[in-house]
Amino acid sequence: MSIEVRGVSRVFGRHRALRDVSLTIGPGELLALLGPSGSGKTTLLRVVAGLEAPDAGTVFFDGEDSSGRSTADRRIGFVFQHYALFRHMTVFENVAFGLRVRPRASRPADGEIRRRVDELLALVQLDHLGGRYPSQLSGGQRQRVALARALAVEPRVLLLDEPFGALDAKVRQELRRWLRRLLQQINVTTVFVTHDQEEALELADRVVIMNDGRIEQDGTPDAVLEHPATPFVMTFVGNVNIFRGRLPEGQATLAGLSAARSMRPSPDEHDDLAYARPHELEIGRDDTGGGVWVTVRDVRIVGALAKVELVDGLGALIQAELGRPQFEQLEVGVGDAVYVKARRLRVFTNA
Amino acid sequence: MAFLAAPRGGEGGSLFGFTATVQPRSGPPVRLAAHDIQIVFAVPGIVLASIFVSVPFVAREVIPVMEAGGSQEEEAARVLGASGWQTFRRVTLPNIRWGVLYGAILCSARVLGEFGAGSVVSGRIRGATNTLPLHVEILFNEYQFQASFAVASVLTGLALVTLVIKSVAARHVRGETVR
Repeated sequence: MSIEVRGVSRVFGRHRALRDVSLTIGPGELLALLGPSGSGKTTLLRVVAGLEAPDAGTVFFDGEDSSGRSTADRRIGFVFQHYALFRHMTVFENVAFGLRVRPRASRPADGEIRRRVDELLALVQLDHLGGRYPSQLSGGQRQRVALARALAVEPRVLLLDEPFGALDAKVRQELRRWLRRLLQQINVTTVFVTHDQEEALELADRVVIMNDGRIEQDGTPDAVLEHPATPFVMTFVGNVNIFRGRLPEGQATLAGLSAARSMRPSPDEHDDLAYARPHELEIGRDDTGGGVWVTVRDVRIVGALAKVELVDGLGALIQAELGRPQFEQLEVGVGDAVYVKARRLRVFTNA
Repeated sequence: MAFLAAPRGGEGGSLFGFTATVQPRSGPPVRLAAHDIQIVFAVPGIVLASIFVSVPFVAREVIPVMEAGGSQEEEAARVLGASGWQTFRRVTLPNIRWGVLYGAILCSARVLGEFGAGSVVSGRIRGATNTLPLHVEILFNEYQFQASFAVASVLTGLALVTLVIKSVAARHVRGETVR
């Protein structure tokens, strides 16, 4: 099932949650909507689900205009951020709900409902907990019940709002891997909303980054990480060092850092911005050219990584990351002067 | 106007003159009258008056429970294909049932002792539209003290029963709001 969002806008009072958003999602695709809170990603998900009516624009399912269709008719599986399980029903009844409320003509028989629910509970590995109430379950278990309940109606599209938002880090990782396998197994078009870049990059086939009601970039996790389209994407996805300065013709010399990379000259007097990720910086003990001398302020060893905080002559902080063995070979400590240069520098000229 | 001209005697008569001046010449009252349906000085009138004075108690109990619950469960039901009525019956109502019960109990407690509104609309027709509190007064005015106190005791008994049910329901309401 493909989804096409065409020119959708939504305003809440004076806040413009969505500004003319267009997006196409292919059948079977696993798409992440990534953005800071208030960027409009949840609103977009709710518009697709029909829980929110757009002020302008249309959502098409397989080319068919869905404007006149109610939420109930769209056959959508929606997993809410806080799961929204029915508190007064057992896990079994929660999952069976979507089947029980069907009109009599299309409602499966009791035995059939029982079989389907048992099957779904087995799929989410909760077959032994059917008789429990939501309040007796852990966060991760509730999440899986919510997923089973959404899948019970055999949705054409699965929408998940911050699916791991309320879970602790360890459970989150486990569930993420599990969900990825499950989604491959059932092969249904899936859109999930998250503000966690790691989650989006690890889980999705395609990532759509939103900011202030607009789409900033739409691409594969690799493209978003390696070829950010805008400064916002660069700073939002991954850690980054920002260097300010003016670009002389042909070369970037920014706050003393220069990179051998040809660039367009700056069109005006404003500072240009250059970005380098911490792992794209190289640290050495000798002046090899094209870099700058800095002082080591702090070193933290995290597993196989060394995270080094450097300060340049003007007191600006630069973060660098390198492999632990590489760092140990350098034999530098806090207070030492080192020579840093960027293997790679991305520049967004300030037009 | 016909229905007003037909009070079955009693003290309602004095009221008639006052009500008649504010009755419209057409509209629902006249149409009801045409079908011989009596509101004032009959049971429906008492029920209506009781609803007006007591429904705010239900609202006061149910609204906080609903606010604490939020609307996510209703949205979930809608997405799963439930109609408006199914959502209300299977999701909303079960979640607020103790709030509704608690409000209903407060309602009945209020209505049990209702004197003013009942007195105005009932017409106080003995054996037909008289309520317990009104009956206490009538008996008292007729110097039937034992009978009057007996009826008052019945009221007290009902009040005590209500109190017990109320405290049970109150515990559950707290549970509903907290969860």
